[in-house]
Amino acid sequence: MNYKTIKTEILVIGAGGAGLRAAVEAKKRGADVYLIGKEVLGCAHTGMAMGGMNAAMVKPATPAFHAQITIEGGYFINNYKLVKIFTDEMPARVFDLEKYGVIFDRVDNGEFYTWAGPKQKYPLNICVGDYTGREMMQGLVDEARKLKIKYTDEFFISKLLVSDRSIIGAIGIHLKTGTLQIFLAKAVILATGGAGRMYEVTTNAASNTGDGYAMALDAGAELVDMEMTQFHPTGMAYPPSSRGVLVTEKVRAHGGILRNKNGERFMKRYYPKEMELAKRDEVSRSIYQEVSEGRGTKHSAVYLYVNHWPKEKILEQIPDVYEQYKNVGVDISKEPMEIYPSMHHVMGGVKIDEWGKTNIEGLFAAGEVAGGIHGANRLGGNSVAEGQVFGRRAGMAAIKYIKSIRYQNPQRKIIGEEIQRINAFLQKNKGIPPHEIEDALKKTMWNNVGIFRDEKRLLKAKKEIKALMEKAKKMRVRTRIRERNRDLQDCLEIANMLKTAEAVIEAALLRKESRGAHSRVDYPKMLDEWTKNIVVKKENSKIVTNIVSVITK
Amino acid sequence: MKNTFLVYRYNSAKKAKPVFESFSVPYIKGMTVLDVIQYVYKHLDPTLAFRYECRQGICGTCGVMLNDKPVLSCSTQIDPKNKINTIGPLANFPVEKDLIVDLKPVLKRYLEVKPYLDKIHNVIVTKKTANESKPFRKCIECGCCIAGVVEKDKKIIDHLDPMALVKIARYVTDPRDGIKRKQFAKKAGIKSYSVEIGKQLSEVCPRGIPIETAVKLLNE
Repeated sequence: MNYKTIKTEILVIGAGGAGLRAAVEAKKRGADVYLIGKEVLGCAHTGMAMGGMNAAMVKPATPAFHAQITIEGGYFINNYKLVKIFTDEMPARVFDLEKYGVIFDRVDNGEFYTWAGPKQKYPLNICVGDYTGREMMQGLVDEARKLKIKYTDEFFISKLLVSDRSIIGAIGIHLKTGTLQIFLAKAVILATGGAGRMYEVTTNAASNTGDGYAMALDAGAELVDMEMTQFHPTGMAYPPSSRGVLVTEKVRAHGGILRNKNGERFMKRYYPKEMELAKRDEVSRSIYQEVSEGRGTKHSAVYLYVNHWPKEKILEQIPDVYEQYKNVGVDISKEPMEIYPSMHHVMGGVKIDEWGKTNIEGLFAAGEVAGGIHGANRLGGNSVAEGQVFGRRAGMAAIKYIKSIRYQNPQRKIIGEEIQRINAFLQKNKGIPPHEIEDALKKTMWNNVGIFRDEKRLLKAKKEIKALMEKAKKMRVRTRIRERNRDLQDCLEIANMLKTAEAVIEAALLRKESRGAHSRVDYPKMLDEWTKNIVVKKENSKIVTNIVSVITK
Repeated sequence: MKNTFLVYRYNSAKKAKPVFESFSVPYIKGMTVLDVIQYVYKHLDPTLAFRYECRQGICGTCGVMLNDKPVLSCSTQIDPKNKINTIGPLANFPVEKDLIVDLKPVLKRYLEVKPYLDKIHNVIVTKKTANESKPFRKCIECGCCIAGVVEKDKKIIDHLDPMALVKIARYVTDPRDGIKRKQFAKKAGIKSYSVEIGKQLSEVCPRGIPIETAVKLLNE
């Protein structure tokens, strides 16, 4: 197969909030930057963030308070150093976004409109209606266009190129034409987002297939906290095509009420003080309990009511939620929503320092693909926020790093092997269509690595993922067409999701306690001796795990 | 119950003419256009090309023509009473493959209107000034408005397409922006937009952007 080679000082993989922020920073500081996105520019998953973004903008909230509840909310295994930097720098990043065009909602005197999510005694969420992420994306894309940042969208990076534990570039294919391309880079910023698609029910965009976790593992990078996968309590439960779609926490924070099919306000059974505004892991478990004990609706869901709000409040605060339900024939100003938890966020990810540095020289990570900031449970509004701080920092650090670096050519053998791996999916005459593997993977993860876990189900999942990895070797596309071959993209993404799933399961098996999003029925208590992080990496193609101390300074 | 869908097929990399291909898809209550497209791809024809990402009506990548009307395929349900539906790529765009359109010409025009905040000379001081641009800030660049321009008005697209028009209105109503955008809109041909065209395009917009207000504003 022929391929072109492009040289760029800094390659940014992923064009969501963190990737765009990194590219903007590096470009502003004079670097030669190239931005890659798997989807059309502007359509990344960041845009699906609804309710808001946390920053200490309005008193009495302070960065110290923001840091405190982020660590409490994360059950004390967050990287404290990252949290402190995140919360200290966040207000300045809000002003950056406004320079890029975003206008966060204001109150009459021009101050930011803020609302309080779980644990927020002092409100931290700033927002733009209930489409905060979309407006952030618009601002970041506008800024990227203003700066004339070079980019290719609808491009799939399939492998990071590493030589002697230093990054030297990446390889991938154009989704439009199926042609291969190599990027030689002095530094690479990984900002590929999460892995929601490996679960049957998810709030995530189709592109969130764990590409970054899988490629980082293969490159020799360390991942941290991978057992911590967040289930958002309120995903749409019905109709099937909307299953999992996000209903923002802003609904509950503004007085939305949860009831079971008998009309009982069931949160009083579990968290009588916090009620609907208990933490995400807590509300998700409560809903799970209600439904599994037979008090759910016929669609295995519970009700979320806002029909006691004035209609103007609904249209001002949650216009998109109103539309989402209107589109499926439900008028939420009159009827309740049916909701059920939906896989939402990977708290874990590539282990980074405060500059986004990984253990691979020249490889930086930012956004959801990076781990450590959120600990065992992420507060709503902290994800789109954190990507802005660490995207910028990764951009700055990459610039500093490339000064003493020269381009290196990859070994032909490594390129040849990757081409061979991709072509194998196209060339086989017999085999399994990719969606069969994907459907099985989603079921395995949803049924066995979900809201509640135990050794038996985790071991079952481990076995099933291992079998699926074997089966995946026989994956083949159903058409050999080069242009827009979705099956080929699926094959590559499924391989990445399987590797990510394996990392999640290994860490989940090891953590024999319950903490945050990781609820073990067989180890129901949170244990002091487990105030630790689990690191996952690959050695000689095998997953190995290590238990390390939490970074508290 | 099965419904018939006529789906547009074309590959710009090959020289063949476009055709509508018929697919029979079992109806499920609440089914969206995207569900139909995914069913065809998964069970009937793996070569079908289409875009989608979020299923939430917010990423703006899944626009198609359903029975000649531009819609976001993820947030538009099929009417089971229509036994035959047509699904095609967004009108007024060159087609790349099947339901995927080539965005290059639109983006080229878009860049000409400087689609970014520039020459900042002011700050947001009140809710009122913050909210003036809010309706236009809802644009997700899905292109449905462009696809909704009817045959007789088509010439307006080459001068100033409605997506670019909304972007100009977005920055004209932003007190921070320092570019003389109204002058640009005049030069680009805002005069050829009537309020009627604006109204018709507002109805097409999946984000409910008042395009007629943008037209009025820029014609002032």
